Amino acid sequence: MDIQDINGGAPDQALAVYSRAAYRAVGVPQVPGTLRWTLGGDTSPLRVEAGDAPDRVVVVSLHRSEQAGASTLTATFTPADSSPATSASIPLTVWAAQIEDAGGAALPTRTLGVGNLAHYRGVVQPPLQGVVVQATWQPAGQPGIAIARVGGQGLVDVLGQAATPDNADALLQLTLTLGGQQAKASQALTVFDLAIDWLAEGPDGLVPTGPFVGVGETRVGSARVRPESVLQVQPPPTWAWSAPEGLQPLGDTNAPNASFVATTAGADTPVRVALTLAASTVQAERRVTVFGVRIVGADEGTPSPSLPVGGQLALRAVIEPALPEARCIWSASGAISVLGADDQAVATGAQPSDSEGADAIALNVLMEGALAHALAPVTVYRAAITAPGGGTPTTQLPSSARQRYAVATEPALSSVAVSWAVQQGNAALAGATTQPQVELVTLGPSDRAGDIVLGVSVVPVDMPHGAPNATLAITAGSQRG
Amino acid sequence: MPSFRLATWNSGGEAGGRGAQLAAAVNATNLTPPLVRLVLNQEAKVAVAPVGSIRAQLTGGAAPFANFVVPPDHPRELGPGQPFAVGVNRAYTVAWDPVGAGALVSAGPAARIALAPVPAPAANAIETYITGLGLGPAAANQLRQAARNIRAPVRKVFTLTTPGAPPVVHTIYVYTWHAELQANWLGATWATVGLGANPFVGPGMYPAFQFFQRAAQYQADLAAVTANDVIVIAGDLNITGADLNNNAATIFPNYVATSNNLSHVLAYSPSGALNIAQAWHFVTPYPPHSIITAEVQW
Repeated sequence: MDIQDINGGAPDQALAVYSRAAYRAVGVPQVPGTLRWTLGGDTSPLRVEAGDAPDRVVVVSLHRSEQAGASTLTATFTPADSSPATSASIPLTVWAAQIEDAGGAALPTRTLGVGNLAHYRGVVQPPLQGVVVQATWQPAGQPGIAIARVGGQGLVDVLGQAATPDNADALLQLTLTLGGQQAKASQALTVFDLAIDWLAEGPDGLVPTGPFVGVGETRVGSARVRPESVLQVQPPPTWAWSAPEGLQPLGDTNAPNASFVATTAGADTPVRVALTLAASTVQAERRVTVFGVRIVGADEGTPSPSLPVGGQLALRAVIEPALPEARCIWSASGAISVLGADDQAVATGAQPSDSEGADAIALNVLMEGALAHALAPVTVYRAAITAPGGGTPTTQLPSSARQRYAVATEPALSSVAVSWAVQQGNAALAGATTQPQVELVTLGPSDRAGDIVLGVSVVPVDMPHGAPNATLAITAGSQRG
Repeated sequence: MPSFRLATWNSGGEAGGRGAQLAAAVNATNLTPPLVRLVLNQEAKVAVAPVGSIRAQLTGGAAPFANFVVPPDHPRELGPGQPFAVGVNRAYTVAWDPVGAGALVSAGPAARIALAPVPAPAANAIETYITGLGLGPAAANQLRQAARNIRAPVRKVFTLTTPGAPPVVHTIYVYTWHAELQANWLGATWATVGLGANPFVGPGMYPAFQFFQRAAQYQADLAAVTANDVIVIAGDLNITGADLNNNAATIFPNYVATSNNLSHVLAYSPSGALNIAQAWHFVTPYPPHSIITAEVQW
């Protein structure tokens, strides 16, 4: 006696879960008696249903077997005359499809970053030897994954394509075919992506801001993960921010939020954050332009540090990188008046500064809500010719005399260049003419009062001398005529 | 040994749940004695109405700030005579508990100290320092403008009485400071003024610390402090702990400190018992600054 499948072929000894197989007994003795079908061994995964004839039976599978061949199907014929019974048995295994991690991890990954690959293997459980299993894969559920590559031995690479919404995962569906039986398995996948919110400090907290950052301004990069629920996965994610040299971190760059201060100009440079979660790494990038500004003088160098009352200084803004649409706002402190037009300005010394370095010209450059600034300190001074000790100078001299004079500035300046000259009249200078004091020699009587004019030019060191900043009218001898 | 516990935080304003964050941090700190008696807040909201969430917590009459005094007038980080100041001009809040054992008693209102150089009639220490660097006028003037226009520390003095026969009255000179970032004063870097590389690797402004240490008020407190007293400097100093440690010879020498990122608590006393204990920091959802709490002992 033997057991065959219902069509007379080899009987299925491996049943997929939740399936049916029909069998019949062949070679049953042709004598009166009864044929009984029974399950043996681990009977929990199987049930038998009567076939449409006593020599036939249907076996229904439920859950999978713990191990291969742990169940048996037995057909037993007992003759009516009490002669010995005859039986036939086949082992049965109920198998299921299972998705495992291809790298051998205990559990397959259920979290995948966009642009990352996850690797799975479809297997039969319990393992069966000597069988040919065909695996097919397809995405299901929420869009978010694609099958990147199907390999032999049930292997598949899955690509994260798009973030899945909260509480709605993508599904990786496996179908295994063994013999005439099929079983399916699914793996839920949360696919996540990352973006950067670029924020500036506002009156009531952080507000979104554009790509421009002025040197000296601070910004916060805030990583936005979709879906947010993925951040609850254990182990917790790791973060890594990177920024170009012109953006200096102000704290931890291994956190979801990172703060930066702009230190040097740079156009269209990337701020990046990488999130590593469950073997996936996703990156986001935000491109920013850090701009800075310098104030230069007429010769494109550093503006003169001092300016006589009434003197003028031509200034220009140099914005780096060039931003033609940036708006320049010029201002100055009390001793200076400044007239600005776009990137150029003229500063005029209005009154002496309180002290050296007390005044400055400021430039603020605005670009789409970002601000850079520069400062050019300028001391406004007034020069005066005094007596050598600083008192009132002598203006009436003998017609042949020598007299020393000094120059003083208001306020005192630490570093200036001095140049004396007799502007007109019958007099000359003796000795050095570039020191704070000078000796005037009268060469004869004046034709009229005050016809000798002593002048002094006081300028910042390395600046050319121009017209005198101070003059003194002197009379030599008795006035003639 | 006298001691008191403080909390300091650059909160970046008072919007949202910042007040609750501060209360939670102080409540957690107060699980071990002594209680936090002093709260220093940088970048506090300027207007007291509508009230910011931190001021609301401090004045709400509930633990952990039930008895705290929070003066309605609080100094702004920048003053009116600073035409070239940079950045949003928020305020400092100094709040303290004057009740019970270990209470702090205010010895005067909180006020900004002066960092501006004064050349005449007699040069002050800051002007002397700048001229002593031997710089050309342009570079020296950049430093002068920086000193005039950067955020200045706020000073407030307290007394603390410890029991004894007789009781001992200790003076606590508190400075809180939201120091400048060097990036705001590029003309005043050590490199741009010709003194070589920036001694700081992080974002801090080295010259600002030189101005602070030479401020007349600070020098006076340094001369006045005895072993019974302590000077505390706490706030967002915008320098890293590494920069603070690596420049210990020129930045607040002889101070002890605790740090988290850019915020610090420093203390100095001639007392041999000077120490900072129970130094904790609390990360909040408002980066980049954590709340620091610490017990200063001397």
